[in-house]
Amino acid sequence: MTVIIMEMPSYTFAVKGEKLLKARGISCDLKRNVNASPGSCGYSLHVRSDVKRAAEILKMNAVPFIIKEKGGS
Amino acid sequence: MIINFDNAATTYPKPPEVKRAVMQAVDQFGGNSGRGGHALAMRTSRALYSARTAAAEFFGAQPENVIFTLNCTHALNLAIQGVMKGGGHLIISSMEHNSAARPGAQLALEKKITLSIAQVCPDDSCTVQNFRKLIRPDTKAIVCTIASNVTGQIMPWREIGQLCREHNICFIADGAQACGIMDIDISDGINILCTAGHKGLYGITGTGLLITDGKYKISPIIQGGTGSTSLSLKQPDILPDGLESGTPCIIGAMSVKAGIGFLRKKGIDRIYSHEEHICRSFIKELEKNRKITIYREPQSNYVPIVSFNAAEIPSEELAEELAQHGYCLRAGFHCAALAHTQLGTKTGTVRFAPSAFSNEGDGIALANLINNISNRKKL
Repeated sequence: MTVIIMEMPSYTFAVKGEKLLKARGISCDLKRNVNASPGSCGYSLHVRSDVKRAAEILKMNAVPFIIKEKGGS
Repeated sequence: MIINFDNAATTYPKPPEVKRAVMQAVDQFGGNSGRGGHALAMRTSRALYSARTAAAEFFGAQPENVIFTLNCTHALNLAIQGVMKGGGHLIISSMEHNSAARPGAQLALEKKITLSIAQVCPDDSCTVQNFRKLIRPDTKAIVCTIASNVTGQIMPWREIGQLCREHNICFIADGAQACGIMDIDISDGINILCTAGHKGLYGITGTGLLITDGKYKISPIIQGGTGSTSLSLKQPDILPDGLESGTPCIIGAMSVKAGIGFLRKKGIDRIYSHEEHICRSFIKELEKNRKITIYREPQSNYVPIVSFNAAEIPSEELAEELAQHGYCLRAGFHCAALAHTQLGTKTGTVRFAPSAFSNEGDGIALANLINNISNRKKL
């Protein structure tokens, strides 16, 4: 399964994003980044399904994120 | 014996759930929030987020716009200095606490801003008109307390918020004496709400909140570690990180969350009614004595605070005598130079401020004691 890693600018936004997605049935995990980008808070959301919808939900709720990489689980 | 009627300074006792939350935080949330991926850090981070969310929901804000501060003074300094950075004209009310008046006055003294003071009247429309008259093209912010910490007078804060909206001015509200007693939602025209966590919200001392609607930029007054963008020397712009440098008071934040839970369970309307009932009974007893001056006006509304003087007894002297009987009341000038100047008090006032845990009988017994003391004194 493809996992999309969404890097978050702050821990607060990371949890907010996680709760928004989970409340809408989108499976995701909040994890500490192993290789954090300079502009991130060091946390990211790992989204395993409905990635396009997940991105839309975050944008609609003004939760900033950067899609860092796509990988397999 | 301690009978505390100094709850406008800080509430005591605290609710049992607040005590439990503090113990739980000490026991379980000993990591650093937003600064690690291990179990302790993650558990602590989630706990802090839950406190942020509780405050956000209580005041109608977004979680990221809730900034934990040391106290209301810290929040007001952050708001005033942060919004007024770069200059402009600031208006404050004549009933402001020094925590709002001094940051404004200091900026004006340093010639970084210009400062005007709007006279508060017993009549709300007069107060709003006094603010309106002072607005200039360069007016950047208005600071007004929601309720005076000296008299308890409730200001026309919704109307002042509307005035600010009409003129595109940032409205900074001091909610220290109102939050937890009145239903305050920042969507009611407040751009930045500053409040204490340890007063009407029943958290522990060392807690405060700045809650913003995000419309006006608040420049940080301190910079440092935020857990985010660690390789950059530039302070992050994003909230809450940009305004929350250094390790937050996690134990305090959890106490505020528990305090908000207590308020939700009890109902702030019920708490207000309970405290106001105690104030009315207290005033009724004092009004039997002509030597007592009560600082309330018939046209004004008040939160449950009663400021008074007895005969010509200096306020500190009266409070000292009451303290000998176990009563805790704050006397003097209450860190509110402008308010006492407006009231014309010579030695300040004595302030009676019940809490959700106070009872009517204690208030009446105190009033009787005050009456006896004032009748005993020769004029």
